[in-house]
Amino acid sequence: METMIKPTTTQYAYYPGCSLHTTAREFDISTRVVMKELGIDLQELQDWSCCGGSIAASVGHDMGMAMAGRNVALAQKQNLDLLASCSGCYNKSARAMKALKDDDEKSKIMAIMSEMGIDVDDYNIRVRNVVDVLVNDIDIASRVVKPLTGLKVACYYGCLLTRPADITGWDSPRFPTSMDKLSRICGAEVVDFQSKTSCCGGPILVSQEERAFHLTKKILDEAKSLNADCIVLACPLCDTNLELRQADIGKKFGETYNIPIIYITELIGLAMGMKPSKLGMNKHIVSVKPVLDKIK
Amino acid sequence: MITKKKKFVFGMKKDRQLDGDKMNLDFAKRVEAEGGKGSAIAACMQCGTCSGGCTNIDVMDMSPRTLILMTQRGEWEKVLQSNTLWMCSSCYICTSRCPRGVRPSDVIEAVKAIAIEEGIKNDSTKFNQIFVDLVQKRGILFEPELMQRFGGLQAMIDQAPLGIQLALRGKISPFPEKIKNPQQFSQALDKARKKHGNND
Ligand code: SF4
Ligand code: SF4
Repeated sequence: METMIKPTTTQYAYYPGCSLHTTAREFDISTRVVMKELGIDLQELQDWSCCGGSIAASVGHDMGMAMAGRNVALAQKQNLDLLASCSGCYNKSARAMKALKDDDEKSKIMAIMSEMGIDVDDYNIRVRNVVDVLVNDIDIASRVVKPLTGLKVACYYGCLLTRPADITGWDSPRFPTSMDKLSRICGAEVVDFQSKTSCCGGPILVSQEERAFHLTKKILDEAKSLNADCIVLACPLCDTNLELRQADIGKKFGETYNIPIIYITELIGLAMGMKPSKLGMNKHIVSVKPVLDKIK
Repeated sequence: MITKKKKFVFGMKKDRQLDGDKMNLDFAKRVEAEGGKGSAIAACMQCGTCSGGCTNIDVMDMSPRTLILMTQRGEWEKVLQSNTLWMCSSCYICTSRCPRGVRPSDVIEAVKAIAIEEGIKNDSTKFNQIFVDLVQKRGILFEPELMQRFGGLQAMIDQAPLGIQLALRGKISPFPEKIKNPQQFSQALDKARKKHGNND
């Protein structure tokens, strides 16, 4: 029997990051409307900046930590837990939070941050991801009014949502199940997706394009061979590879892919009976019409 | 009488960590200083678990395990020249599997920064530096500018059809966003990079 878990908090400093304001607009829109409907108040993190992604720390570790740490400090100033939808923003913020709690690391990062005009010394907030909150804090089941019966989904977790465990820790780094659970609660059928934690090559997409395409192709191929109606995910960088570059990858390897890629928040919104347009689903590059037709 | 050279010690190959006299921790210390708490290089027991799970090992000239070994030995020319640094997609599989807490992904990340500092130049170092330059400029990344500065006009032409589709859906804003005080942000990061010596 499902028991109602009380949310630990109902207000968050919401950190959208660079992608959710641009290429991942539908992730931003669906996060906002779904969370609102679930009674969670998202206050956009004031004056947030780029977390530096997977790149900044490989140009300078302390600098990368300060970039991501800045947002953690801003959330602390607002005295709210930081909530990110983007797996990358979440991972880097959580990593910076861990570093800021380590005495040796902290002084180096704080030195850079104070040059930025930020002087927060004590951190008692938490850094969370939207999937973590949805699966662990909220009773989604009672909110499902339109079960997605007959929809076959492949849940793709990628790297940064659950790895490494000492930074994330709320789902398994090797065999995560949170999005599978959420999809099932929504009434969808979840396929046994071996590629669920394979890397799509996001951070090397531009500099090592061929390699990234090769990695993404394997993920698309498996979803296709399993006859999944769509891939469900929570990372805009994975979406760039799997959705925005899907046509290029198809062309390069002489394949045709038409696999809709949708964010977990869109899936939940649909099951909650929300209109696709209200969830931003008209913004996809690979058409989501087959998914919508199936659940009509 | 010729004594046969021992190849194995307790079933382990001799070129592994037991080979204490070949250790030179100067480079390892530098990597650890760069990578912070993440890189516990000396703890590596050369089990190869990291290599076994690595996403990109089939295109690497040096496995993650070997890269850690070479770092322990201070063979830093080999490490800095290796394509492993640039093929690694920071997927953390190695780090989440390593039984000794070495965090190979973080070691590689730290070595990347040292490679840039040492003047290694290739597409990846170029991309990484432009990426940071642009974040530093406004605090928020403007992707079209990243593509243009990295790939030039050709990249813009190649990406134009996708760009138009994105623009039609309101997914590229014509004006880049920025934080309230980009100057202060930028100066702080500039100073951090100068100290580091890689702001060329
Ligand atoms: S998994 Fe860890 S201990 Fe084993 S070889 Fe790799 S870094 Fe060394
Ligand atoms: S982080 Fe890099 S070295 Fe580690 S498994 Fe992934 S690709 Fe391989």
